[in-house]
Amino acid sequence: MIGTAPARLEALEVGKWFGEVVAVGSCSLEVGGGVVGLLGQNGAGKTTLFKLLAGLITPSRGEVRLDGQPLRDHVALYRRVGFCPESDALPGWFTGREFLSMLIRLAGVERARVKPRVDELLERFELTDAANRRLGGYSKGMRQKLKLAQALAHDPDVLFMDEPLNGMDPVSRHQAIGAIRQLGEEGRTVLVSSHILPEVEEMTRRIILIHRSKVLAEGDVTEIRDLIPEYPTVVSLRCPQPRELASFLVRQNNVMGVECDDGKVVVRTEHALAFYRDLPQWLLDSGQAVEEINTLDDDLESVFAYLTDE
Amino acid sequence: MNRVLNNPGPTAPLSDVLATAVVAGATWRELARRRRLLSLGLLLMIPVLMLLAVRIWAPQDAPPNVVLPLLARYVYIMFLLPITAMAVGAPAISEPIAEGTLVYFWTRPIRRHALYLGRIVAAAIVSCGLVLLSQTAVFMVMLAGWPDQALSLDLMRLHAETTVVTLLGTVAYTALFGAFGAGLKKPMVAAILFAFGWEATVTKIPQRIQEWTLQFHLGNLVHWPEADSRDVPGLIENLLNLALQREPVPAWESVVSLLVVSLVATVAGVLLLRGRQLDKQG
Repeated sequence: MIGTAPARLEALEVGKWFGEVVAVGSCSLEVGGGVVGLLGQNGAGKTTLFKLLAGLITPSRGEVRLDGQPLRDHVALYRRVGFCPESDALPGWFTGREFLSMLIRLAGVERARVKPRVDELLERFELTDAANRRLGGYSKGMRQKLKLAQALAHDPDVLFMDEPLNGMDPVSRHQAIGAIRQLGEEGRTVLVSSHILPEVEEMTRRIILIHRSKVLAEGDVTEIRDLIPEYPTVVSLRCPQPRELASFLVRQNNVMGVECDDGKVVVRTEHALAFYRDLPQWLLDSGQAVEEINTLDDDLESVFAYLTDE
Repeated sequence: MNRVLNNPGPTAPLSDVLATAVVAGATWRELARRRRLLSLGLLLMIPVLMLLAVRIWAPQDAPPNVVLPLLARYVYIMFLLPITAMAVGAPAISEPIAEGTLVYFWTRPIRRHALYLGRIVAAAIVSCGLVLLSQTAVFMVMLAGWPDQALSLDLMRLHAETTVVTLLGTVAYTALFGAFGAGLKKPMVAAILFAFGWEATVTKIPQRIQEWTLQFHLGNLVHWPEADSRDVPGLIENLLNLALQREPVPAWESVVSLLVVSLVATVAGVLLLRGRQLDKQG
C-alpha cells in the first residue's frame, strides 16, 4: 500500500474542547514519512490529539488532511490508515484469529488473502498459539501485540500508535521498537505517542512535545534528552520472582534503590536513559522474566517545567 | 530491505451490503457465545413449562387454541419479547461504544451505517432465533399433549400466526432498543422504563392512545378465539375489553405500525451512531 511519496498528514489549527474543558488547544503540524514521537505527560491531550488526527472525533476548530483531503468521514482514506488505540479494550468474545480476519476483510483485503494474512500477522506478533483463544483471556502484553497487528493488518501507509509499548515485556518492547523504526524506514508516516522519552528516542529523533493541551515544541530529541539525565526516575517491573530480581538489580550501576511490592520490583535510578539502555542485558544476565514495565514518576515533568519556565 | 510485513495484495473498500454482511456474521458469532444467552434461553422456556402445567392439571379446561393466544399476549408480548430484545439488542450496539472497541471498526474503510446495520441485523437474528426455539418447543409440547388438536389445520395456523407475530415483535423491540443503545448512556434503564413503564401503563389507558404502544399492535395481531363468556378466559377478555375500551384496529394497520417503528428506530440508530464521537478514553 506504500506509494512512491510518503503520505502527508496535516493538522491545521486543530482544537477540541468539551464544554469549558480544552482537550486540545490550537495545534498545527505537518508530518510526512518516517516516525514522529508525540511526547507528553499523562493527561496532556495526546490521546485526544490522536483521535483528532485519525478523524475519530470532530475538531471544534480546524481541519485534519491526509494528502490534501479531509480525513474525517472520508471512508476510502481509511484504507491507508492504521490505528492502535491506547485503551486495552478488545471485544472479548472473539478469538484472536476471528478478530483479525474480520478487520482485515473490512479493510477490503480480498477474501482469499485473508487467511494467509492472518497467519502472517499471528506469526509475526508471536500470537499463533493464542490464535483460537478468546480475547477476554489475553494478557496485557498479548492485547498490545494484537492491537499492533490489527493496525498493520491492511498494510497502511499512515499509522497512529497511542502508547503502543504499554504493558509489554522487555523482549516484546525491543521487538516492537525495532518494527516501528522499520515501518518509518519503509516510508510510512508513523505517529507514536508516549510519556517515556527513552522509549521514543529508540524509535525516532523527531518529536513533538505536548503539554497541557498544546504543542509546546517540535524538534530533535537530543535537545530534549540533554535536559533529562540529572533527574531521577522510578520504574516498576512486574515479574514472577521479584525478590531475586531485586537482589540482582541492587548491585547494578545507576540503581539508587530497590523495593519489592506486591509482585513488583520498584527501582529508583538517577540516570533514566542509562537504566533503560542497560535493563535488557541485566534481565538476560539475571535470567529473570519481566512481564510489565511502568514508569511511576514522569521524567518529562522536569523538561516541561524547564520549557515552560515554571 | 525486509519489510515488517508482506503486502497483503490489492485492497478495495467493500460495498455497503458486503460490509454489513461481514459485520453481521462476526457479531452473530460474538453474541451467540455470551453466557447471558443461556439464561435467556431458560427464561424463554417459561411458556413451555406453563403449557406443560396446563397439560398436566387442566387439559380439558384450557385447550391449546385458548392457551396459545394467552401465552402470546400475556407471556411473550408483555414480558419475554422486551426482555429478549433488552438482553441482545441494546448491548449489541451500546457495548462497543461503552467499551471503546468501536474504534477498530471506525478505522476501517466502511460506512458507519454498515456497522450499525450489521450489528442490529445480527442482534435481530439471535433474538428471533431464541424466540423461534421457544415457539418450536411450545409446539412440540402441544403435539405431545394434545396430538389430535395440534395437528389440526386451525391450530397449526394459529401457532404459525402467533410465531410470526412474536418474531415481528422481537424485531421491533430489538430495533428500538438498539437505537437506545446508540444514543443513550444507560440504554438498559431506558429499555426497562419503556417496556415496563410506558408500554405497561399506556396499554391500560382507554381509547386510542393505546395504539402508541408496541404491545397494543402485537396483541391486536394475535388471533383471539371468539370470546365465550361461559368460560373463564372468555369472560376475562370480555371484561378487559369493556374496562379498557380496547377496540381492535385492522391487522394491516398494526403490521405497518410495527414495521414503521422498526424502520424509524433503525434509521435513528444509524444517525445516532454516526454522530457519536470517541471522546471517552482520552
